[in-house]
Amino acid sequence: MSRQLRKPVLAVIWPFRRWLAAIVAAHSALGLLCGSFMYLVALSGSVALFSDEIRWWEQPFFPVMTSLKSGSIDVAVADLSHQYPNLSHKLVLIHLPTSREPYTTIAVGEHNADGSKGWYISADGRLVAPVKHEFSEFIVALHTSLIMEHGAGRMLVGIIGIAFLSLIMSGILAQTQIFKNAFTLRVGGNIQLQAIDFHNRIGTWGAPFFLLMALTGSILGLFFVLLSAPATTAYRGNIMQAFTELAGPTSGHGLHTSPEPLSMLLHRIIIDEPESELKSAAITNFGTITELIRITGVSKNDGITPMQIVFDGRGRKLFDSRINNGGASQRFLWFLQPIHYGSYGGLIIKTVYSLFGWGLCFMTSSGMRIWFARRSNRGVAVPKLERLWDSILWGQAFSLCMVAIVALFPDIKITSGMTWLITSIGLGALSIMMRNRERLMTFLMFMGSCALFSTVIIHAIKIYRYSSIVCDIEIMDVILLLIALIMGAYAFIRCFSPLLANKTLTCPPKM
Amino acid sequence: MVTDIMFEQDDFGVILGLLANFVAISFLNIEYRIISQQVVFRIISFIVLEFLSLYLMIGALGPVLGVLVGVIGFCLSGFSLVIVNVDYRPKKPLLRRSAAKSVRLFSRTHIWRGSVRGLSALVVASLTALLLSAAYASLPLGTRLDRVVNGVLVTPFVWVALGLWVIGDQHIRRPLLSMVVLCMFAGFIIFLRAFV
Repeated sequence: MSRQLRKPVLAVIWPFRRWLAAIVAAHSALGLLCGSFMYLVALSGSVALFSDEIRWWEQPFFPVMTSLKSGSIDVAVADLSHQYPNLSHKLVLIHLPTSREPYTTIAVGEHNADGSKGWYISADGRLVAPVKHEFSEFIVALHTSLIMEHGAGRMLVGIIGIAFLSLIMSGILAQTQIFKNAFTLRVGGNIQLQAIDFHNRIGTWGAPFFLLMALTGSILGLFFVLLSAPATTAYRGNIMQAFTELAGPTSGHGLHTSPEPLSMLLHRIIIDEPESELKSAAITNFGTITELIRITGVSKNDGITPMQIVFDGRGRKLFDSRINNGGASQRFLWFLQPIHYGSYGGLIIKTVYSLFGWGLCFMTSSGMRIWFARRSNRGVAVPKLERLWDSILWGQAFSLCMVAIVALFPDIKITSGMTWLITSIGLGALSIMMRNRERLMTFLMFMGSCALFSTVIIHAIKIYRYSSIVCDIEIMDVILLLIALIMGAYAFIRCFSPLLANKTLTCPPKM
Repeated sequence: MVTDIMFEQDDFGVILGLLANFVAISFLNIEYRIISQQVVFRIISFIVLEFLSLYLMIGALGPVLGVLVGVIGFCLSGFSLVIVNVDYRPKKPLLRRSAAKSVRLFSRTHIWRGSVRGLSALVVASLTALLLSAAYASLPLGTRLDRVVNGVLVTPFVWVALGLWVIGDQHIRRPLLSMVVLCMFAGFIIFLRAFV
């Protein structure tokens, strides 16, 4: 009787034992297939959460404004028309000042000749300084599209999201003793047990959050693929009509002769919608008869309920997301972005999201490590693959810092994506050539630590050149210094403590 | 009231919700001989308290924020209790049978076999899931926009389930053949709805 009681509940009631074994195998195969991509997406996502803060770090001197002066946007649009003689038919994006992002920018939907993306606007509407957010844009691009263009990267990230969703589900199903072992964390003894426990506990308790992120991420990445199949049958092939009903029209009908000034339109919305905080305005087909103005905002009450209103060039309202939304599923679709990006709760929520992101990075790394260790113990080790994984795992600090350093020098004519690719491939090649894995890991940590220190110093010098205030220390620099110190100290200990360096995963004899 | 002075009503609901969440998870952690011999009792208590927590959260913050903060609270409570329960001196450093079994299964996976299966799962499962979604959207159930949106939201789960089946099943033919049948079924519905 007592023996029966000790049996795990799910193992007793679970009828498909063979299926369970298959699920575990599926978990393993999927993890191997997508591990490195998932690590990159999770790592870049954890950093990209702070893209607003990174923007301030990159370009700390910008005209601060909390609200718009009447008519200043029209002056900015007119100024932009002078800068771009062929502005008609193009997409014009305007970032409006909010309490968290107190600045206004205007941009055409492409990079300027000098590599910048748009301009900061002064209080009176003049274009004062080019926007140069290379690093933050790179981090966001790495997360959303793995720096691939033309939608392919977005789809790939969406597929990785699906794989992540599968990993979470198979991981939960694979743990037959999920309740019994829910709080087990054996630290300090057998290092493989420790790795397995960390992997399983982070996976178990982070599962609800990871599930939300995987679902929202995969839908965001694969939205048009997922939409096209049901829309083809429900709308008889007219996918654009489905999209128009869901998110508003994408082009106007072409009748207006005297367009309403944008500032008047914004002023009207501010008066009509006192509960909403406007975030951006996008003008499609600028200056043509099919011009459309899409204004987005968020509710001031909860900071998460989104608002999107579409006007034609004459200022007639064509779409309002709050009126057009139907059932719960349609409303959920509008919440996808704030849920995924954690943009609703300020720095605390961002930090919590980021911690979960780091947890996911750790889980990916421990999962791969367990697999490598088991193969090694079975006599079928894959040392090159293992070192390659180490170069991805520990080399990203160096690669990302190189991107940040290059982004701090606008005169260097090399794109962020290219810098990242060259450094990552270089480290990968180095990992294959260096046969000693321990030395490789220590070397990569030192490189990462030095790169972090260099980034902070170069940033400080650059800031000092523009600011006479010596004590103008950015919090981002302090955080980077701390990470550099921890990484450097760990590498130093590994170097001089053979005990720690040799503490790799080894399998105990099989029972 | 004191609570009115110290907290807004919403804050009070959130704090109570988080507390209920923490207690619910603590129930899983209690040595079950103290409460009952039945593990089921602990699980039921956990579920009841979790629902109470969710109810309080949604009442205080609304449906979306309530669920989100509830999820974050759930995860953080779990992690905090795991940290409290850290076992620094394990009595048995060797792998237990269950863990060893689980790890053996993990190590069986071959890289190339896994990759081929993964790619097959990706292609076949995605096609089947999209066809099933299209077939559902063609049925006269609710407004057409609702059907499209439901299709968008449910397809990832169908994709995942079918994908896991292909990767995990020992005989790869079985799920692949089943999916061909499913595709034919979905195609038949789409064809029928196009003309009827």
